[in-house]
Formats: sequence, structure tokens, C-alpha cells
Amino acid sequence: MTDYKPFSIYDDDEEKKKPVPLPKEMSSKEGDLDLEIEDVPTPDDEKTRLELMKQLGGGSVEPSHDSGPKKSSESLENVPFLQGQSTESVEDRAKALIRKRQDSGKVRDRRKTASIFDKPIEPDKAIRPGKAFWHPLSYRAQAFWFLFPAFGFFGLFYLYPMIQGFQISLTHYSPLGNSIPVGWDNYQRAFQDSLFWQTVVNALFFTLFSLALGLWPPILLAIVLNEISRGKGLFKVLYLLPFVIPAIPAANLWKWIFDEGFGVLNSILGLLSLPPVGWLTDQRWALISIAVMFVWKNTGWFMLIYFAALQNLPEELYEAAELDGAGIRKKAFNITVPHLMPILWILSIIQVLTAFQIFTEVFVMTKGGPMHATEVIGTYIYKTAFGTMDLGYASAMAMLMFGILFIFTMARFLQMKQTSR
Amino acid sequence: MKNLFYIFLFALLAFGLSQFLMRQNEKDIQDKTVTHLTLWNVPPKSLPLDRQIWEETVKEFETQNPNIKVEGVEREYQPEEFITVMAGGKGPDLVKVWVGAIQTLANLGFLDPVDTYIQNWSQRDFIKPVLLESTKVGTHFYGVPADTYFLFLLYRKDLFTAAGLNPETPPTTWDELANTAKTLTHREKGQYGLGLVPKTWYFQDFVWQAGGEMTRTENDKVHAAFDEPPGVQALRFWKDLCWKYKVLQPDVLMPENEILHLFALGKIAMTFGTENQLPALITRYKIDPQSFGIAPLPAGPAGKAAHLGGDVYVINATTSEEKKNAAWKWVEFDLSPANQLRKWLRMHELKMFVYPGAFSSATNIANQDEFKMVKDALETARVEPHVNGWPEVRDMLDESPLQEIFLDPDADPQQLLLSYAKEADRDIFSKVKVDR
Amino acid sequence: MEIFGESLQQKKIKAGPRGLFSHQDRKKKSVKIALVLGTFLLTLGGLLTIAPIVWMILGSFKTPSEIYSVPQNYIPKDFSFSNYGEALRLVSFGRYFLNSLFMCACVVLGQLLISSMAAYSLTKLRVRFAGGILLLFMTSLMVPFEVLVIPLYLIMKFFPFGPGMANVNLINTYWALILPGVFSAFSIVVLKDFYDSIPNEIIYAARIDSCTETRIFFRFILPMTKPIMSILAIFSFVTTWNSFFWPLIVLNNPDYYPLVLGVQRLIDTGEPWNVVMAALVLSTIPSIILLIFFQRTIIRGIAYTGIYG
Repeated sequence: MTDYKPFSIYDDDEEKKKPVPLPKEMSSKEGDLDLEIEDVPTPDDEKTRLELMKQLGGGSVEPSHDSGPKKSSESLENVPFLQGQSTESVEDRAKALIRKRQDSGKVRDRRKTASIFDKPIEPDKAIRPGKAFWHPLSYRAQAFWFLFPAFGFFGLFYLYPMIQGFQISLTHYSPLGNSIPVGWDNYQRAFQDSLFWQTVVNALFFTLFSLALGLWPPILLAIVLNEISRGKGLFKVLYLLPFVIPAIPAANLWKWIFDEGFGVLNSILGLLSLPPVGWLTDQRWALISIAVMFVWKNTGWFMLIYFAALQNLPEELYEAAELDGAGIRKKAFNITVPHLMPILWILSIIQVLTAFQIFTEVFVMTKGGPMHATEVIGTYIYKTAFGTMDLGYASAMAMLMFGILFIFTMARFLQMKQTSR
Repeated sequence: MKNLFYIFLFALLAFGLSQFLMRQNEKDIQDKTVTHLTLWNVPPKSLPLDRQIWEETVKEFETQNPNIKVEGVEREYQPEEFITVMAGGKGPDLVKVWVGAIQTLANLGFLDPVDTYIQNWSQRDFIKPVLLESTKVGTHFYGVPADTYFLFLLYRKDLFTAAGLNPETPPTTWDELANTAKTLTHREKGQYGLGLVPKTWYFQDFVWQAGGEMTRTENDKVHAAFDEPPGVQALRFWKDLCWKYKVLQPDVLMPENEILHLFALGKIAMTFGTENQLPALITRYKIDPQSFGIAPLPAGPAGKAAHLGGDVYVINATTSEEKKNAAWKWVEFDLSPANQLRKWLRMHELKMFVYPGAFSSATNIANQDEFKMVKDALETARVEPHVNGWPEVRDMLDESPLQEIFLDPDADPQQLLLSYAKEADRDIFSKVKVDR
Repeated sequence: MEIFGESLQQKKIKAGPRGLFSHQDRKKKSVKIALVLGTFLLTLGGLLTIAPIVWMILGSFKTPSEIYSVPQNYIPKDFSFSNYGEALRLVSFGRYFLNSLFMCACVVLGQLLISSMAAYSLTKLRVRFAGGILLLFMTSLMVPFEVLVIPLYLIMKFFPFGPGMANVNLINTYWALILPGVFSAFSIVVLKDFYDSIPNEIIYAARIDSCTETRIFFRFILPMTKPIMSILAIFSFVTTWNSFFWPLIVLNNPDYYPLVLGVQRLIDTGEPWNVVMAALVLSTIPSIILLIFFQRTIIRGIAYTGIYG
């Protein structure tokens, strides 16, 4: 949106310096070229413009002079009357007037009426043949066809099932097609279900813990990896190995490691003559143990991405800072960390989305026990859906979880946009 | 290198395409006069002997019923799979499910009532009534018991001998159980006396042995009964096993299959289990069948009790009438004395581990001398409660109080059971409708 | 093929941009100590990371009683491959391996093509509400699969128009495994970030030469994005290779099973741990080979172009 300035009357574009636009007769001759015209000024626009001119103190202007292949804002810029006049007060007045009219709805705001595939053409954009939407080479059609496959797959395999899931959540579901609609009862039930809220709290705890443990240490590892001179490849592969192992066997492996009697962890504790710990059976430890496993699986992947970002950091920045006499600490906090921030945003979103929905690891390692200490939303939904086969309630809980995650992601997106500005 | 990659890719695509086309051809061979019967529970190829017996049975069945073609699928009943394929209308015509799942499935409308079939069935009267009763939901029967398991005390004879105990006299009472387990526990060696999973599936037997009930039906209302004194007594005994005698496996929440691993490896001396879990252990760990014994559950203060269950054949309610009839023909054929006897003979011929759970309780195969144990157990056997809402209560008990008693040395059995019985009545039993 | 031990010359060429420390900094004592400490930390972390995997590999050589021995038996007594033999007997590896490979190849190719096209459209073709569309795509990461599985199964059964209209039954085919995996919001998000850093001038120039967008995309953009493609290829390969829940639901015939589902079946039927570990090692090897093979391309590629501009 930043590149689009519909209300500027003067700018440094070359187009502004062009002489008067082509007269109508000529431009209509060019019609057979079939140039793509983003927006032809409507009579309404024309009227508004004339009115404006009057208010600005300019005499009447022939409407035929400026209905060439230009967008409305540009046509205003090229009015002969205004050419060469740089009185600031006029410009300000014009801008203020247009804003005012736009607020009162008299000037058409293109942003509100244009279709999705219809952003205003930028001055540096080459004019393309084909203006109709159906024309296979038209600009909009290409944008559409490029997006279409992804949208089709998304719609068919994600969006449609998600809508169906929402419909299921409004019923007492029966798979054979005679579901009973119950309105918002399932949601009401979820709000009264103390176990559901406990699972939300557990999932939150798990997410926070895995964020604290899994988001920051890889940065340190990546920085070190970037500094050392040999063995980078070895470390990359070492750290990435856990990511390659399928989730269920990996969870089983860790369950076996965490085992209270036969696990290697307690065996090592025994060598240090410490008492054994019930890693997965002690309510205080169980969720943390699973989080450790989760972090183990993802650290390498995150480290790799941070490392990639570090490699991408232009060294001129460091050099410039050094010329200014910046110390190591200053370089680290003023250059390295800010450079890693955007990627940290994205990884934190992805980490939250996966950690909040954690299911496989928990289900394999503890099945939600001991006494619901590790019951997270994922396991509770699974048990409701396939244990008691109450898919309506399970879907309602899933939709609530979706709501939480959606709000989070949107907030994060907005935040990201704000910081990047 | 690049060319190699493309050749490889091309070969892969060709492979996939050929598979796809082959499948299409398969589908085209359809004959209207033949009924195709889709069955699940086909033994996988990794169990060649079971597979062989199954294939022989199919062959025999198809010669007797030339207009039925059996299509076996290597799938077992799993809730998430079953509900999905049923919703998609691709469910099997006939499947064996665990008897405890019948309630949920029947309430969802998946199962066809088999009352009309059962009425004229010659084997009906030979099936243990209590077992047949457990397939009843409301006023209809929804399944036919196909095989039976009994909960037994499994014990390692070699460990008994090593500890100086007589391997032929397993514990018969609760006290003996606790003391024997104590003798057999050597934590420093990683050997534990008793493997006990904190689950209702085991707990209910202890409640019965103490003279109690899990649920009671009064005035058309079901309510939880496990908080009565026998239930408390049983839970107190569990607590003692864990905290006073300290004989349980190290990780008290260990799942059943791992307990069985440890049992097979001689790390756990006694556990509760069904005899149909044994053949897999024998083949996997290559242990001597003589090295472990099977005994009835020890008697509690109120005498002996053990539960039995098993897999039941259920017929898909959504298939066509002729397929349902064909499915019933299979059931009749499979459970007939002739077929059961043939299976018994073949299992002996192929030198498989023969265990009573492999056979229908409707035949007198179970009267063989080698199954004497089962015959005794049949006398005192009971079935799990089968009232609406019980599956939820079972899950609730599994997940909270039974785990708590093993995890918290200060937990009070009476308080626990009281509070959870109240919760079960309030949240579950009061909301379901009562059938009878 | 040299993977870890490059020659000095190669190293000079490969040495990417410099890091935080300048040459002057590196001469300081405190920096030296910090570097040594850092290397130590990295090594320690690396050891901790692979320790479970080493434990798994050791476990695949043990006998069942060794796995559950007290005191713990860290090193197996003899390294025999009998567990691997047993695993190969129980799982028909050849067939499952080909299934997995076919599935992964299709998903990876399809996913990369479709995701990069979408990302191109969202960044360079000035689609309105690109952020909103991205957020919409990301909703696919927010709903647990358990809720989607039944509708998805129905879609596969009556593909694509639903019951009563033109449809094919895709249950129990490779299509059912491949199609849902082709869309990946993660790939699109990452690719979009990457495309944002590609200067627009290239595209404008091409447009003035009256190239169609398709041509620009395939001739200019795709070749430029090879490095990020290889990262995403690894990611989607690994996730597809490791998926098992959906194949379990949608397949009737064990002949179509992917490899990981075969291993999963071993766990479900309660095979002893040593055999499961052996099967697991066998099923993970392809991914590891791929990883080692690709890791160079990935990192070097990123160094020159960068994912997150």
C-alpha cells in the first residue's frame, strides 16, 4: 500500500512533466491497441473534479482534455490549469478538499471498490496487452491463475473440511448422516468443562516452556556456528538429525529413555548416586520432559534457519560500525539481534502454532496422564473424537482452539507490520 | 548425475502409474451373481501360520458357498479408522470388535441387530449367557461372541523356582499374592514381583472379589457403586501393594504391552493378563511355553471372581441385505463346531501355541483337557458392566483415581472413590438414558 | 564426495560472509576465550542432540533382555544384525520404500511448484489483500487434523465434486496420499518472504521485453530460488516421509503402505523394542542420506541469496 499515493497532486514522476494528455479523438483511435486501463474516470469523477476546480478558483476546464488513458488521480495532476503552479496553499487546499470529500463518500475510493486482482498500475509497470479479465494474458488473469492451484488445493483439502468441521461442531454428530443440530450447546459445554480449561492451561504452559527453551538457544548456537572456522557441515547435520526421525518412534525412544526403572537417564542418575526421578510419572516433571523432547526435535531446524539469516547479513554493516568504533557488544545488540528479529517473528508464530496443538508426542509418551497433568488440547480432542466418539464436542473444542490461535497469529501479523514500518 | 536423477524420477512415475492402472483393472472384474463380502481382521503376512489357517478357512467357506466371494482386509478395529471409514460408507461388512466397544458403536447406529439371525442359530444355547448378554444394548443383540478371553494370573515358573517357591502353587488369596510378590521383588536386580496397570479393567475384578459392584441399576436409574466398602477395600489393597509391600513395576503407569515385554523377559514375575496375549510373546521372545504358568485370579475376601470378554462379530448396518446375509453365513460357518475343530487340529499340526481364547466358547472344544483352566474360570466369570455411560466412567476412573493411588502415598482411597462416584453420577449417569 | 573435510582451497572459496568478530576482535584474549567456550557449548549441544540417536542405534543391536537390564547395559555384547533381519522379515521394506519414495517425490514436486506460484502471485503480481490471503492460508496450520479427517475422507471418496455429481473414488490409491500434502502454508510463507527480497527491476525489465508472467516465472524466478527450494524440499520430504495417520486411515491394502506406516504397525502390534529400533534405523536412513547430500547446497545457497531478506 505504501507505494500507492492516490492523493498526491504533485510528485516527481516523469509523467507529470508530460504535456497535456492526448485529446479524446486520438485516444479513442488507440482503443484498438486494447491497452489495459485500470480505471476510466466515470462521469461522477468528472463532475467532482470540475467542482473542485471551481472551488480552487480555477476556471472551467474542458472535460475532453483529460479523459485519456490515465487514472483519475493522475488526470487531476495533469490539468493544464495546475501545470507549473507550485503555490503550496493551493496544493494543501486541494488535498484537504479531496480528503474531506472522500470521507463524505463523494469521491470514489478506489481501494474500496476495486477487485482483489486490481491494484493500481505503478508508473514503472509496462503496459500489457489484454484488458479483459478472461483474456489469458491479461494482467489480472495471470495473477489469478498463479494463485489458483494453491487456492484450489487449500479450498478443497483445508478450507472446505474446516467449514465442515465447524458445521459438525454445531451438531450432535452422527457419522451416518443423521446428526442432530444443537446450536451452540457444544461450545457452552466446553466453557463449563473444567478439564477443557485445564488442557488450555497445560497447552499454554507447554507452549511457553518450549518457546523459552526452543526459540532463544538456537540463536546462540547459530551465532557460535557462524563464528567457528571448521566443522560447520558436521554440526549442521548433527543438529538436524532429530528433525529427520518420525515423531512417533522418536517419542517412543524418549519414553524409553525417560523410563523410571529401566531408562538410561535414571541409570546415569544412579551412577551419580542420585535418587531416580519419575520423568513421565511425576506430575511436576511430565510436561517438562515432553517439552524437552519437543525442543530436542526442533532445535536443529531453527538453528539452521537462524544460521541462514546470519549468513545473509551484509558484512558492510559490521565494517561501518567498526569504523564508528563500536564494540562487540554494541555490534551484537545493534546489528546482529535486530537483523534476526523478522525471522524470530515468523519462527515464533510457527512454534506457537505447533506447540499449542502438540498431540503425537504427548499421546505416545503419557497419554495425557499422570492424572491429566499432561493433558493438552490435542490429546483431549483426540480422546473425545475417537474414544467416546463425540465428534461434535471435539470439533467445538477444535474451533475454540482455532479461535485462540487465529487471534494470536493475527495480533502477531499486525505487530510485525508495525515494527517493520 | 542429473540424467540419473531424471531416469530415477521417470521410473518412479512409471511405477506409480502402473500401480494405478492395475488397480483400475482389478475393479472392473465385477460379477452381479456373486456377493462380495468384505471382512476385516485378516492376520498380517508377518504371522504366516495364522494367515495360512485363515486362507484355508476362506477356501473351505467359498466352496460351501459358491456365490459368496470373501475379500479380506488386513485391518483391525481401531476407533479412529472405523469411525472414518463408516462415515465414508466404506466400512467392512463384518468385523470383530472388542465387546466393550459395542455400546458406543451401536449408539452411533453402525451395527445391525442380529436378533433374527441368532434366534434360529443352533449354537446359541451353547454360548455362555453372560457373554451373550453383554452384546445386548437396549433390547437388541448387536454381536456374536467369536472368541473369549479370561483374566488370569500369569506367573513365571522359573522365577518362582529361583526364589525357592513351588511353581505349581501360585497365590490363591490377596494376602498370598502380596507376600509372594514381596518375595519375588529384587529391585537391585531390576526384578519386580507384580505388574499391575492402574486401569478399571483390572480394578473391577478386585472390587468383585471384595464382594462389590461397579454400578447398580435401581428404579431404572444407574448409579456408581464402586464407592461402597468393597470398592474401598479393593483400592486400599492396591495402595498397599504399591506403597506398603512395594512390589509393583518401577514405572507405575507403564502400559500393558510393556508390562508383558518385561514379563516375557523375566523382569516381572507375576501379572494379570489374558491367555490370548501369550502366543505373540512366545513367538517374539522365543521363550519356553513351560516357563510360565496360568492360574485363576487370587480370591478376595468375598471369594473368587474374574471377568471375561472377547471379540464379537458385528455386522455393518449400512450394507445391503444380501451382504448382511452373507456375513451371517460366514459367522455361522466360522463358529460351527466343524470349523472350530478343524482349526484346533490345524493349530496342533502346525505346532502353534494352542490356547482356549482362539476358539468360540459356543463349542465344546473348551471342554478339552488342555483347557481345563478355562472351564473352571467360566464358572465364576463375570462381564464388565454394559450400561450406557459406562465407557465414559471407565475412562474417568482410568485417568484419575487409579493413577492417583499409585502416585500419591497420602491419597485416601475412600475420599477418592467417594468424590469420583459423585462426579460420575452427576456428570455421566444422570445424563444418559437408561435402557431397561 | 567430500562432505566434512573440504580442502583448504575449497574452504576459502566457500568461506561465506564474515561474522560478528573482526580480525582485530579475534586477537583479543576475551574473544578467544569466548570462542573456545562457544565451540565447547556447540559440541556439548551436539553430543546431547545425537545421544538419543546413538542410544537408538545401540538399542537396535541389543537383545531384548539387554534393553531392560539393570544395571544398564550401555554397549551391546555383540553387534549382530539379527534384529535387522527380523525387521526386514516383518516389514516388506522394498515395496514400502518405493511407495514412500513415490509419494514423497510427487508431494515435494507438486508442493514446490504450487507454493512458489502462489508466492509469486502474492508478492510480484500485486494481488490485493495479499496479507489477508496469507493469513487465510495459515489457518490450515491451526486446526487439528482429527477434526478434518472425516470430511477429507468424504472428499477423497467422492473426488472432486461430491456425491451425486461427477466423481472418482480415490480411497486406497496413491492419489489420496499425495493430493492433500501438496498444499503447504509453511512453504508459501517462507517463499513469500524470500520473493520479497528479489528486486522488482528484474521483472519489470522482462515485462518490457514482453515476456508473459509464466515465462518470467519459469525462466527467471524459479532458477533464482533454487537454494530455498532445496531447504523446502528437505522440509516437505521429511514431513511427508514421516506422515502415517492419514495413510493409515485412507489405505486398505498394505501393499500401498508407506515405510513409516509399516514401522508404525510394528509398534502397534507390540514387537520388542530392539526390532522396532532396527526397523526405525532402516526407515530413517533415506532421509539422513538426503540431508547429508543436500546440506551443502542448502547452506551455500542461502549464503548468497538469503531466505529472510
